[in-house]
Amino acid sequence: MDEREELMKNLQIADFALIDTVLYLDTHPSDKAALNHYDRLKKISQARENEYISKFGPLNSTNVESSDIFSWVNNPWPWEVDA
Amino acid sequence: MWKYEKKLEYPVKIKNPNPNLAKLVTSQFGGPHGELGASLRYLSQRFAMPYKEVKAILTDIGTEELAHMEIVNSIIHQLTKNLTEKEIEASSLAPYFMDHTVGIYPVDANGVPFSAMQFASTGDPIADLTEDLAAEQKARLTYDNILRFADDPDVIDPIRFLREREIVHFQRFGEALRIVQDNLNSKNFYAFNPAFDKTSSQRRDNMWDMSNRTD
Repeated sequence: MDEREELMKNLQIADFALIDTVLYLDTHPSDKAALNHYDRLKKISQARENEYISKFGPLNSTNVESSDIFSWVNNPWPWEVDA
Repeated sequence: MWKYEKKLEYPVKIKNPNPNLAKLVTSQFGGPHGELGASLRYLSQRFAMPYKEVKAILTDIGTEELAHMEIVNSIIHQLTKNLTEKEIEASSLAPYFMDHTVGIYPVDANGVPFSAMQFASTGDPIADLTEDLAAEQKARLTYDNILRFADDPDVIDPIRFLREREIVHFQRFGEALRIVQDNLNSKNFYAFNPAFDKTSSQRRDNMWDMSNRTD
């Protein structure tokens, strides 16, 4: 597993924990422990996303850092074997 | 609106193509229990939902199903990469290949195209959520059936992830149904449709309102 794959996997882990917590909070919106958990995961996810983006480019078409090329179009796309 | 994130919810990295397995997995894209129908089901139903927690869960599970559709399609795409014509001709994927080559198209395991008849959006919160509970179980059993035939750990791993998500969604929809019922008359959940009737007395056919019954 190269560095890009590893950073992506770490981000996927954090974002999955966040997705799962959001579903729980949807049906338990006043659960204090879950809200604290959500805050903690949000920070971890944001930090990992920033690290990934700074090294391997944008994950969203509207947060491309201006440069000579629109790096959003760059390979690999998520479904590609090398992704 | 939606914003695309250039990443999968769960990684898919398959080394060995397998056209026969790809044909089976395709059912979870366009089949009766697949992720396309799942996402359309929840993202359509939410417009008739009166209760805020349930609007949220339909939106968020519907969105996660779009991510699952992307995972299923990534599995199919990677299972059909670098196949030779001979390998395809000798596989169960040959009839699919005639119309779609190795492009992605929503069909079930028998090649029948996706139909909106595969899901319901009834405008009735209890009926919709009961359908959603069944839908999650049907998706779960289809993943169980894929796991009977999959012998490649690269495929088994993401399929197991998707299977587990169906069980979590089933749990959340059970809570959503309880939230709906908590908002209704506990003596008769069916006295009126909270997505359409303003009050039970506004329903023209009031014969099912049993709140005045003495037996």
